[in-house]
Amino acid sequence: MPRSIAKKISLAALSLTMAVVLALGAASYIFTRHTLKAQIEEKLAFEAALISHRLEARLDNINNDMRNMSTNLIVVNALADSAGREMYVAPFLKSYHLPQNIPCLLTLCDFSGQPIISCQGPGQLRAYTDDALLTQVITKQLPLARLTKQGKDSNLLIAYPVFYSATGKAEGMLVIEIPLARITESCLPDLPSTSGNIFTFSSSSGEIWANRTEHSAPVVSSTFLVKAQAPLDQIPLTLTVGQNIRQAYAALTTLTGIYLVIGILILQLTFAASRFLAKKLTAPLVALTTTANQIAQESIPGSPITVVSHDEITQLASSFNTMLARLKESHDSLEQRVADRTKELQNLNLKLAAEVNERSMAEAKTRAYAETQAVLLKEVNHRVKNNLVAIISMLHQEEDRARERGMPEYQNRIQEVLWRVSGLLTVHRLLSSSEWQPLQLSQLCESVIQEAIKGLPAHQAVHLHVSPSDVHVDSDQAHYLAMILNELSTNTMKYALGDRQSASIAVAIEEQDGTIQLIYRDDGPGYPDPEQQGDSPGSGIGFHLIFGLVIRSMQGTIALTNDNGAVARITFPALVPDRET
Amino acid sequence: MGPRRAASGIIWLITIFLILSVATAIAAGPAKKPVIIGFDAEVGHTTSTSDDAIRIGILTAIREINAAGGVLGGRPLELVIKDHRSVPARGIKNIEEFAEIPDLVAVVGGRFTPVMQEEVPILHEKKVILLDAWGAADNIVDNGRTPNFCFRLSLKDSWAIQTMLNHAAKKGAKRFGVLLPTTGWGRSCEKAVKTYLAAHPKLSVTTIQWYMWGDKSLLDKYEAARNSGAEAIVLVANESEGSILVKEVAALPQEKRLPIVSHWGVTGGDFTKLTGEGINQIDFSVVQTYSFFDNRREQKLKQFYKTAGALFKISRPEDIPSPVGMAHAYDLTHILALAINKAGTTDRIKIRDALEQVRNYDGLIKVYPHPFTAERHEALEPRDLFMSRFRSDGSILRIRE
Repeated sequence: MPRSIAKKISLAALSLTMAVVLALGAASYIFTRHTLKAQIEEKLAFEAALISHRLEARLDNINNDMRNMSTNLIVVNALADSAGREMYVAPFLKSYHLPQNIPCLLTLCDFSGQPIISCQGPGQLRAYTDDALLTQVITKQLPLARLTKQGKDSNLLIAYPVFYSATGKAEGMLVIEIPLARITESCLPDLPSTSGNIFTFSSSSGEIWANRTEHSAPVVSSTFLVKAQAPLDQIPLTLTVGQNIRQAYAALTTLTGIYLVIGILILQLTFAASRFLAKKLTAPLVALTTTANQIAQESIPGSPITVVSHDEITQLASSFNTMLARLKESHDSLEQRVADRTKELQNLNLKLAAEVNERSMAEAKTRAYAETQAVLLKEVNHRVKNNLVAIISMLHQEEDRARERGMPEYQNRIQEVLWRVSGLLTVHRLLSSSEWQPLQLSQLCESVIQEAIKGLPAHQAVHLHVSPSDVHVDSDQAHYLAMILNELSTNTMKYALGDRQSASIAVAIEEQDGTIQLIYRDDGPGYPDPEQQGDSPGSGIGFHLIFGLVIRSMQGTIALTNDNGAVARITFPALVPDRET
Repeated sequence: MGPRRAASGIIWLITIFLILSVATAIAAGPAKKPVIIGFDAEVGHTTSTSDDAIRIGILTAIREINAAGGVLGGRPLELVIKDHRSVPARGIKNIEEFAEIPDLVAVVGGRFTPVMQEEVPILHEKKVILLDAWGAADNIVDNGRTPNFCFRLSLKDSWAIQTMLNHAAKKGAKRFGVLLPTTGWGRSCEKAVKTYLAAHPKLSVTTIQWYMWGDKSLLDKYEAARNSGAEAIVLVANESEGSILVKEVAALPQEKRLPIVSHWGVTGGDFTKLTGEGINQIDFSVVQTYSFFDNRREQKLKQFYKTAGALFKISRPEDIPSPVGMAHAYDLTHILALAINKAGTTDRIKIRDALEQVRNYDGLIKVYPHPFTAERHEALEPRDLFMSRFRSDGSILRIRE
């Protein structure tokens, strides 16, 4: 194990050194390559420009020669001359030489492109009869330049019209054809240093000549547009001078070799130095590790560690010994504190268990009490309902008896009591089913009034409409309102319906600013005036009851008015504080 | 006369008119197909008037021939003109096209010798008859071909040079400087000069100076000739180069102005207009074959004026440009018409043979007892040539010697 630390340190040092060497080497290589490429590009651009200018000058010279020759009277005269023109035109044409003896075919043609004579004699007569050429040179009387294919080679063709003074028109043309490769080659430098360059000559239709046929494209190149005079400007010629990757970066190959040798030497030295230093540096650490392992194997830190050294590792050993002593002391203290705490927790658990048991018993008692209360409430509700039903039954019997005895007034009174008790039964049923929780007022109105009008004869009907409302009333208010609504319904059936076959009751409920307003209206003849005033309780037991319940029990107000029938407006607080029963 | 008789008279008149119309139409028969004569000339040449002169000569003769019943039993002659612009290549193309025209019997050639010299092979290949009304090179007719399809009613260079040098010699000149164009015409004249001098050892040529058509100055050639000791200049030129020399010599001091004897190419254009006053300031004479001012055949000339006057409002010699061309073409066309009738067909081979058989044509220039023979395709003779001079208005007057 200690050996591996030394190896790791030496490996880390080696890796770091290698990274630095590689980074420096790569940076240097990239910089050198970039600089070299820039220099090569600059040199190639200069060379391309130089050759292009040389080519432009050469092409312009040829062009000027053609222009001058086409106006030479020797040439013009030959158009009109018959046999014998060879005497002067042939020597004239043959006397024309291009630099470096570049071969050319210089031909004098007639207006139809048929050759009259050429610089290469009668054996080399070429016709130029295509329409485009004749249209340009003879019809339009303008010079023309274009590239023509001769097998694999491209020829530069320049044709100039030959004007005949007698007619003032182009009656022939002078045509020269030159192998483009030879012109280009004649413009290339012959220095050995540039012999490796790749020269490519192109037109808009593609490459037309190259001094090499290498598969790989030049990695570094410079292109220059050859700007010759008209009509040569009709052919967009470009010259590209390039170098392939091997040649362009040949200097870099040597540089790379030097970098590699230096890099390997540096790495070897670094490796050896780091191994030596690592062993020397890790020797005290190895001793410390050995001692610590011995202590660890004994599992009881009995003896202190001893290290013979004079550096930070001695301090480390001393600190390690102190740390061992403190660790032992801390361990003992911790054991004691754990025991005390455990005992305390056991006591607390006992107390908690007793409290839980006590609370469970109380809860069971409470649950039993609640169940008893519920049963009791249910029983009370049931008994109250039974009692009210019994009372109603008895009142029916009394009513039957009064009817049999012919006591209509008595019968009516019993009937009124019967209605009131039925109302109480209705509200009791509602409250029982809601377990005495607040009731929806609209539902209360609907149920009480329906119960009240249920006993009408079959030929009579009362149509009820209760406006939908979410207003709720508590159980006390429900009782009072049930009796009030019962009285109002009874009043409607007695006075509003009368002998009519049908009547209608409309109930509207509103709540605003903590006050509930209940408006009860029918379509009968309305209230007599004293009753409208609301301060005449003596008008009947019903209204006496209503006014008493509203004003005293509900601490509200009531107003009786007539508006196409009887209208009762009852207002009362949404929450009734202290109410009298 | 009552209305009924009047109506009957009208009906009779209409009936007679209809009968006469039908009878006339039947008598006239269907329109006869024309016989075509071609004219291959330098129409596009900017300064030439010789093509106009030849055209007028041909058309005047055609009018007379057609008025007299045409050829081949009533077929009219018709002229088709093609322009060679004095360029031989265009002339060759024209001959090829002429050869394809049905019932074309012959082609009349214009002034430019080089054109006709180059046309000779294609003429024989296509069997097209050339009637040379002006071109002077000997070898146009003396082409060595049998059968020969080239006929000339004009002078030829050997006669012209002989006449010119005779004239110069009569004026006292014994040494001549010769200015020739670098064309077949120039070479033809060079040969003629040498032939003539070989027969006249007392005369000599001090120098032969060659110039190009289109040269802007001939002064250096003239000076070279004068400096060589020439006493007269023999000029072979057309109107353009000839007028340049005249103006340049006229501008020299009097003592440097040599007499100039000229071939007749200068009469192919409006020469005096080109030379201006210069023509009056030097001794300039030109060879001719015919002069409308000096005609000994008055009846024929009257007939010519009558027809040409009706066609072209020509009524006096001053109205005639390049007169020799007009006279040559006029006589040539009449001789051709006689040959066509003699051949009885438009077949050119038979007409060529017939041309050699025509006899006793009474022409404008002279009476031609036998215009052409199998051995001689020249209708004129050396004795028909004479020297002339220009008058200020451009007229060409015969020099009485």
